[in-house]
Amino acid sequence: MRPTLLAVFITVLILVLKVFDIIYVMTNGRDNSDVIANLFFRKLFVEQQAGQASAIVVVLLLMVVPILIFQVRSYKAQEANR
Amino acid sequence: MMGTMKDGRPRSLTAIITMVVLALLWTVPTIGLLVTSFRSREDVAASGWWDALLNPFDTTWTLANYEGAIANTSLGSSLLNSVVVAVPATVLPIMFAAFAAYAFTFMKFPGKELLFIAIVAVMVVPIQVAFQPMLDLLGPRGLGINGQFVAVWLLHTGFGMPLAIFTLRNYMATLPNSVIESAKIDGASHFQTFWRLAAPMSMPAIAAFATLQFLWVWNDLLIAKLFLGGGANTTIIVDLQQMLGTQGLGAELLTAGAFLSMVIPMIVFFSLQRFLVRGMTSGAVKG
Repeated sequence: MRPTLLAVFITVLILVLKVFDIIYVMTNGRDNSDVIANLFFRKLFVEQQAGQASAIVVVLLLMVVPILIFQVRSYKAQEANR
Repeated sequence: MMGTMKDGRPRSLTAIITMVVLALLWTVPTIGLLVTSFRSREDVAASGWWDALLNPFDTTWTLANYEGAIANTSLGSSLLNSVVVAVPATVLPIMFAAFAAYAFTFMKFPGKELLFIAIVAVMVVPIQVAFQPMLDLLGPRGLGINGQFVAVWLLHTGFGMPLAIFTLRNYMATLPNSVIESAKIDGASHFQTFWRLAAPMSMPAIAAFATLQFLWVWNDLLIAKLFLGGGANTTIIVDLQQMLGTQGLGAELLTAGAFLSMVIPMIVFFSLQRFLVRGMTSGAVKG
């Protein structure tokens, strides 16, 4: 059960971290509901700030790094038990 | 009603009630959408959709929203565009991933471990990291294919592959190795082993991933918006989102359009689901 739960947890976590459509359609970031993907879209297209948009995504990438390390580690542990 | 399940465990009333309640809760927005799509704009503005459900005979039901959505909007062509986007964006990653998964499971080559760890790692990298560089690369300064279907196919293929390779490789690792080995002894090439044995035996995993990938691609807004835009090649999700913003077109058409956009994913889901269950039961017999 545990590996399955972890795999689903990580997949859904990543899906939610990059959520865009719901925020964009419902509030477009009003009332402190902005998310990284929406901010990125606004910087890139509305404000035409490709550099700032890229910087925002680098933040997202940094947030993902711990998950990435964890993912590789648990994969290696799994392979060792195989 | 209370009996035992196939595996001998007793049925739990609590579990059954919880499941039904959860399923109903999850369906509430869809029911609301369906009801709203059959009401006129004035009715929708005047009262909530549940009012129509509570007094079904006092409400005037209308098909005008569907007629309007089909006749007066570009939903027909954008529905077609969505199919043109989603089918290759599902088939391509699965085909390449199946090749790769076969190689990772049954072949020996230098750097195999390192490559697979790289795949496991990039699986968790969100697609946003690629947008700015890819927009530049596919845009007028680079290849100049931004706005064409092939750009979206490329992106969905690239970002669908890591998870596809990982899932398919994990499934192929559970296939009986003796079958693959005996094929090798009988002189089958890797090409034959893949198409005759590995691919058919992995069908349950392929069907499961195809369903997921198709639904992701179909419901995707960001990639379609960035790389196809709102022009002639726009997908139905982008089209619906643009309807939400334009006042003149009418919000009542949106509900009907949204319901129409659900038809094709539902067909895909139900047809592949049946296939998926069959694949699983046939897999269970082998022991």
